[in-house]
Amino acid sequence: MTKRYDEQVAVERDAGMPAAFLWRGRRYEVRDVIGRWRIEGRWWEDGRDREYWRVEAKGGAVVDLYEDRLGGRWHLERLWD
Amino acid sequence: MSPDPPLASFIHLSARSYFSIKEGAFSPEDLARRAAELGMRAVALTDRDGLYGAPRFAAACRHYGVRPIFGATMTVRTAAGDRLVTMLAKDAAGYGNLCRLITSAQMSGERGDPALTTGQVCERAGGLICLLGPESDPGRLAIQGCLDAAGDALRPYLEAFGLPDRGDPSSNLFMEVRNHLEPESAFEVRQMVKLADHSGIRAVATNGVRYLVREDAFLADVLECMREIVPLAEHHVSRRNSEGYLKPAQDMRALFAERPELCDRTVEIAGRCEFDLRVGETHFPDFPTPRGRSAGSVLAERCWRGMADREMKPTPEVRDRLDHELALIQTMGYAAYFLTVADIAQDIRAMGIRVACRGSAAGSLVCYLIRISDVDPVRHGLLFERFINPLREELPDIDIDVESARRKDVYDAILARYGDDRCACVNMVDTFRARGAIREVGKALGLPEGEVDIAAKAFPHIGAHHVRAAMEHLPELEGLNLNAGQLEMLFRVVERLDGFPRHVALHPSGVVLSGHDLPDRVPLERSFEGYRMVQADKDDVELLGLLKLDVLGVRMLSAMRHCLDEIARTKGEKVDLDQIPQGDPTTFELIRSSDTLGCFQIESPGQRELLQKFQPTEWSDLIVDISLFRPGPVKSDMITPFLNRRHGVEAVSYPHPFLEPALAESHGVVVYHEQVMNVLAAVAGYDLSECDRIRRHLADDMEVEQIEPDFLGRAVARGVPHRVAKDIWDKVLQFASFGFCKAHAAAFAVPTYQSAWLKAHYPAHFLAGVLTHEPGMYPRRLILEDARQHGIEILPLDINLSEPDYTVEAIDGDEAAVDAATPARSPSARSRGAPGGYAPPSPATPLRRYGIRLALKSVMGISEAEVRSILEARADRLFVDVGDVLRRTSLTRPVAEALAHAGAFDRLPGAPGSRRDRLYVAMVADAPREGEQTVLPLREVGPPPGLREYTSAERVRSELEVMGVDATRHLLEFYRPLLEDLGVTRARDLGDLKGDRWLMVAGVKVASQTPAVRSGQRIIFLTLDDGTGLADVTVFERVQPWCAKTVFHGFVLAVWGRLRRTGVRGASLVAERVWDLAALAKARREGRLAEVFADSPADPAGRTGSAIAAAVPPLLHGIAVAPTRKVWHASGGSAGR
Repeated sequence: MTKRYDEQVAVERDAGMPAAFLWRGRRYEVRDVIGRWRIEGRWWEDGRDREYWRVEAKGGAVVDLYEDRLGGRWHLERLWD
Repeated sequence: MSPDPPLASFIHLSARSYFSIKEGAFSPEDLARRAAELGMRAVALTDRDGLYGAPRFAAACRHYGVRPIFGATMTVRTAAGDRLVTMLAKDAAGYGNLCRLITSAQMSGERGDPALTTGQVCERAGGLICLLGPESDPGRLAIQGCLDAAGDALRPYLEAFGLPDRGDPSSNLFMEVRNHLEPESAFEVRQMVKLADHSGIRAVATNGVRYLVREDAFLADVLECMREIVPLAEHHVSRRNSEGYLKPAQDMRALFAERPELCDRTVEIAGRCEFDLRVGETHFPDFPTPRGRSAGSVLAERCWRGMADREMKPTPEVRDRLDHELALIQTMGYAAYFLTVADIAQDIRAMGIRVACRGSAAGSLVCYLIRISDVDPVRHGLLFERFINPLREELPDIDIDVESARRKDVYDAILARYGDDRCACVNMVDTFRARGAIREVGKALGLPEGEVDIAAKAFPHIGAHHVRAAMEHLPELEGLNLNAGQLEMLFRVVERLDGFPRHVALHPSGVVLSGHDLPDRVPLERSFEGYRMVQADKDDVELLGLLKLDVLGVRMLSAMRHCLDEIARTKGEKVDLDQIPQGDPTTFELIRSSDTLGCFQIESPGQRELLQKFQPTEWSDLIVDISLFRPGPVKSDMITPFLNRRHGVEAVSYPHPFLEPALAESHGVVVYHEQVMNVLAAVAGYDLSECDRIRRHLADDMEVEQIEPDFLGRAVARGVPHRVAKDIWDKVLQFASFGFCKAHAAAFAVPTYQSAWLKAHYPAHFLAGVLTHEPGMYPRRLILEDARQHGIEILPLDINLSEPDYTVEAIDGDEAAVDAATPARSPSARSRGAPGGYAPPSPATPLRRYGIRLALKSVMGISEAEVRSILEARADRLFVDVGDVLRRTSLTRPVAEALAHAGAFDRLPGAPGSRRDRLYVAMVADAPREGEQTVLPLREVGPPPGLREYTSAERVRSELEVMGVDATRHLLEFYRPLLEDLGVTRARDLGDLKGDRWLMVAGVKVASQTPAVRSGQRIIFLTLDDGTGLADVTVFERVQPWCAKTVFHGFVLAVWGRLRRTGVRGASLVAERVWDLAALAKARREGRLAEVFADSPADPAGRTGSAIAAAVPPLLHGIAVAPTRKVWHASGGSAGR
């Protein structure tokens, strides 16, 4: 199951891909990138442009991170357990 | 470590343009351009069930240096729903199969819902490559996780496309893999590749392109919502991001970095698709000829036979001309085309339908001899090279006119005779224009309908990309309740939709005439009307190298047909219009008096003014007249010098004596294209083909620069002094763009003369034809007025006597007495300057009085079925009363009421009382239809209620309401007291008055035109009808600020202005003030008339003095002497002269 957070996080990148993220005061290293996708649209409302990364953190947790390309911020959207 | 160049490349094999209507967001041309920008060597266009974009895509690819790949996305109907597969043509056989597949898809089932079964798609696999993508049946199943089912669905494709095909050892079946970087994309890619691996077929990467650049993705959303007619919302939009664009090769490579072979295969497949549309090659029609004979020899034989039939003398000139034309036709391969068109024209005549040729084809002797055209080009100096010549890039195009009312019959006959496989109509792509785009986009954006409607209405019919510019000039948009953001978004979309196809319709006239391979060259579909139609518009047809014929429905031909039928019916005379004398004095008298309402080409106010000045005396004058009244000649003011020279006011001179032979026919003024060609030939010795080519390029400065030295060199070599040659060249340049094609004018002159002849000799019959088919610019009520002016009685609408159309009836009575007592025209008709009445066509035909009976079809809202039911019931026995009408016809209540209201029941023998009584019965009678309710008798309406009879004003109003005409009395008569107060001048008296005097006219607006005029200012030509004749009014730009609105929106108008003489009897009023007569009448009732005039914003009195004030009635003194509020000299003063 997943749990939805949608909280801001800080992300370190390596070669364009997330290498680690800082969430609730803890740093998680990214062990593997599982998926990547992009969601855009809703231009007739507020507009949206997000690049998603599904990553496996060291320790086995899988999270969906996204970069809000309009606001220039990273979020942790979901945690898969 | 840079990758090997070929491996770094990627070819897009799936792209849907805006011809995938409301799906793709770019033009085929832009696809070619963008592919070139991205450095791609090839690109495929794969529109939905169509090859509409193929010709222009091919042309654009050639222009941008990209190799086109032709394909289509086919809809495949399965039990689970509609699926899509992509087809690419490898070779001509494959393209032919693709065309035929699309044709089957389009022709089966409902129009606009093309689809094939899997079996059908697999039936024509030859020469085609099939890509099964995520939208295909197997692809969809794989994505749903059902790999086994997907494998089963794949089998028919594997059997059809999976095998080697004629020398091509590879399979033609591929799985089409897309990765749009959506959340599910990674899984889908895996499934598709897995299916390919399991089935032993290869996979290839595409990007399912629907927009060319990321930024245009929003258009795809709008198009999708417009297609589904749903508001724009997340759950209505299928795309999740903007990845479906024409991605650069390296990005596509990066996307499939783990499987580079998927990208390599795009290059391989592109290499196998070698088909080239070969734009510019011509494909001639088939013409079955007797064994062993060429179409060329059949054509020659027919021409010689035609010369005998036309009783044309085979002089050396004629023989040479014919040989020359035949040789050119033969060389260029058009013989079969000419024969086919001639047969079609013959078929049309055999159907009893009038046919006429128009355009430059009339310049061909061959066309004349084989009866495509009816103008003798030798006699009128028309040039073949203006029509066809080897130096022209365009294909010849013959236009023939047929009776508008029979156009469908003609189409049916042509399509039937030439079969399914070599003849089809041309399409016309209806594109988004501002209004339509605003409405549709507004709906999609969910904006309030009322507001969107106001925004839409505010725009004239302009291209959508002018929307912003238009906004800045339209104050009415300021009050809208749309916020700037919403309007901004609306217009941002609307701007981009400009030129996008909206739907595909039937071209009104084009028919492709081709060989039996037509279905292999272009897909066919059904038009809304059910006609077989190629997926190509007229420009595409040209690019495809297909010859076409334009069959235009011309109302005048129908009007003349009706006239001839009425003559035959009422007089038993059979008039053959092709045999009438060409110089009939009575006809020219009518033309010179400009009594030409209803006549072809010469009825407009401007033309009638020109006729008065010109005073044509022979047939060839009509050619000049028609040519002069064109924007070009008007703009360059060729009319004034021409008329001055014709009437001897000005000496005839030539820019150079060299030009005399070419220009003598028009007194040294360049009127025709043909003259420009002749001048070039005379001075520089070019052959006429070259002259035609040069003439076409004279508007292009670049070309002119290149041609000039050549022209001068040749002229000098022929002994023309350089200075003189240069002078001639400059003159040619100056005139060239203004001339008109003489052949075109000559072709038009045929129906022009015929219609004038009919009006001169059979005015009632002719006007009945005009009323029935409305060929011209004037409303019916004016034509009725014209009939009254000619002493023709307007007979009322009558349920027992009116026919579907306007018919002619001889007026009963002592025929001889009537003949003796009644001139053909009433005395008042002299107001138009016709000296006297018409002579009878021949002494044997006695003059009779005729009336025109109002038509059943003129009743607004009446259906064909209702008209038919009246005729059928009447054929049994005439109607006796209102109940009888209601019982025995299928008239709906509103139509029955309209008939009663307009007096159609007034003469029913069993219907006493007033018209109001009969209307009452029509309204309340409970009338079971015959055979419908068996025994219920007509409910007794009780005794006639004895209601008040209609007043004459009410009669006229009812006629206007029901038929749109004032049949019994002229509308203006109801303003009589007002007109007397105002001292209005009658139109019939204008011709007798001296010019340069101030006066007022009033009348019903019958025409307002704003043609191009030489000064560039906008002039409104207004024609008013006051029941005594027509008054022509000129409204110059200077007064338009306070006149234009009334002129355009008013119906019954009064105009104050200065009279200007325009010809022997012609006069035109130069408007100074215009009022709505209804408003004046209201003011008069309220006693405010003087106020209205006192309120006039400007007037000329300051300049013209008190003499005028004395000449006008007291009421107008206000405007005649009021101080001017406008600076007079600013107007240039002489605008009226």
